[in-house]
Amino acid sequence: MTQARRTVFGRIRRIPTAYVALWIIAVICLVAILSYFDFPFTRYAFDETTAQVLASPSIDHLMGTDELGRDVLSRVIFGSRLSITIGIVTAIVGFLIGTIYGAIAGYAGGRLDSLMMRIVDIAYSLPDLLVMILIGVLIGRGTFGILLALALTSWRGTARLVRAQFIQLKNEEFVEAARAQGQNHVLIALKHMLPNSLGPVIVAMTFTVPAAILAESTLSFIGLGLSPPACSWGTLASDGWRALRTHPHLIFFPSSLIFATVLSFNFLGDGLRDAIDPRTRL
Amino acid sequence: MLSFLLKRILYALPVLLIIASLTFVLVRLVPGGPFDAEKNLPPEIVKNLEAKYNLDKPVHEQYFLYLGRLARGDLGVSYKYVNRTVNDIIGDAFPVSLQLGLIGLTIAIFVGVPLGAIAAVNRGTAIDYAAMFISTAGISLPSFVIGAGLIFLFGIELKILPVALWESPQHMILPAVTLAFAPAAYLSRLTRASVLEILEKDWVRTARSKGLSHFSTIVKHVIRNALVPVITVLGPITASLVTGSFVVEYIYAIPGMGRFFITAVGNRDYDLIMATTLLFALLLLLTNTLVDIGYKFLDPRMEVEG
Repeated sequence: MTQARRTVFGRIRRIPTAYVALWIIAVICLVAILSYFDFPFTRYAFDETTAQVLASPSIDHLMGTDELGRDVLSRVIFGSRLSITIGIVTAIVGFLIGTIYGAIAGYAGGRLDSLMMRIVDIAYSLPDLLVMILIGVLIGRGTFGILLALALTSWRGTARLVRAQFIQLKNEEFVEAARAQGQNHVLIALKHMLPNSLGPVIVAMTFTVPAAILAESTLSFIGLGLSPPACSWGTLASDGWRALRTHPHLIFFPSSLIFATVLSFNFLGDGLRDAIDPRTRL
Repeated sequence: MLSFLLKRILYALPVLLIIASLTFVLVRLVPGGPFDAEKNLPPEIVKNLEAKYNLDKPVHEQYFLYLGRLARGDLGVSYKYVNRTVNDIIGDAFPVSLQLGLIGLTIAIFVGVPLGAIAAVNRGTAIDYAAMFISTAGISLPSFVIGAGLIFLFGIELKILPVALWESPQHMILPAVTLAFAPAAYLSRLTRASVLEILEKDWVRTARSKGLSHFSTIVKHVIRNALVPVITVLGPITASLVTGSFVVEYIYAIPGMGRFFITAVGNRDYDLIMATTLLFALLLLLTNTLVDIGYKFLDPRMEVEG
């Protein structure tokens, strides 16, 4: 496993876009984590007293200030916490639900499988926005509500993928051998089948992170996601939209960060896919 | 072909019924009702309103009443836009979204598919990297950012295109481009992957060794076969484009369907939610049927199940 991991990383290093993307993601995540400590920029995020309002970018305020005189760079760094957290947590929760669900369906097969897959079909046929709005009404539009809504729409793809993998693996000789030895079903699924099906799932997970960041920012933009005082790149861009004509810097910087992060995750996903399985290309 | 279509219609009816039932239950499970927004309505008036719209009856009775009206083609009334039936609202808004969606779809296909094919044919060259960078960027930009960028550039700085409303062909350019961006990027990635896969097939080598030129091999043999997965995703893409994008309609102030769906859910405008959801489901079934017919043209050997 360690050997495999080393070769995957080695291949990633040889794909320039993926390697640069990995570094960009690392830096953005590091800044988001550092902002929890006494980081020079975060102090100004809610400081309304120091500066002039709606200043254009300058040496003092690299990204300018907003309508309350708050430093936009600080706000953007502050917003990265929520945006990145939402992206990663959604991917992990969607991965866990989808993997368990898909593994059970694929391993069990037969009637249980077709029942579980029909449920996935129905979950797919409901408009995502309807699900998200309904969750928002039921749970509230806080961070938890958004996370739940995004996780509920992201597990379905993983479930299908893992199920397909498990159906393929079920007839492999090593699985049959484990079964012939009388090993416990759960153990077979966990120890023999899961590690062998993880490659494509991890690739899919890498694409879930940017999708969730995009979904959060779009929901917040149209007023169905987070709203102030919560601060994410989506809410910042939404604030900036209203001042597009007069102060375009307010929407430019948070949008650029969304773009850079999502682009990096997509390039990393492409690279991982090529590194893990060079045959599949989409 | 006739029996195929007949089978599809027979299959569509129960699917629509399930989706209608599920949505019906879901929207009524959510707390709050259509008359909550007017805070100062006396309870007696709310009661009268609910009686008028049959909302005081048990849910299962409302359900059968609704299905009865639906069977007669009556989509109900809007509680929010008084004096307007849902049929009126859809009749006004759907043509706008349909027109915008079809223009966007055309742009997406004619930009995305050639871009992906060119990238695949020139695999590993600068052309390929440039095309893939553009398309990855395209799927990484939220549509409100694309919209804001286009409005800023063409509407505010250059002042050559109108940035809002839906009046003349000029008004359609920016929203259609904004709408087309993401599907164009997605189609080009899909086309590239598909063309690369086909290029490795034995019969492509055969065609080349027969002396067919590189160009005609690509056009006559590769593209046609590579389009199968592209056609597959066109079903859902078309359905979602023509039923309207909330973001695009919101930023360009376009009176289409996308806006009604969001506001209808917020207002608990039950009949309007039902109508928009069902219209989407219907279009999805319709476009997927068209996709299956498309398969038969691309590859007559393909067995399409009814």
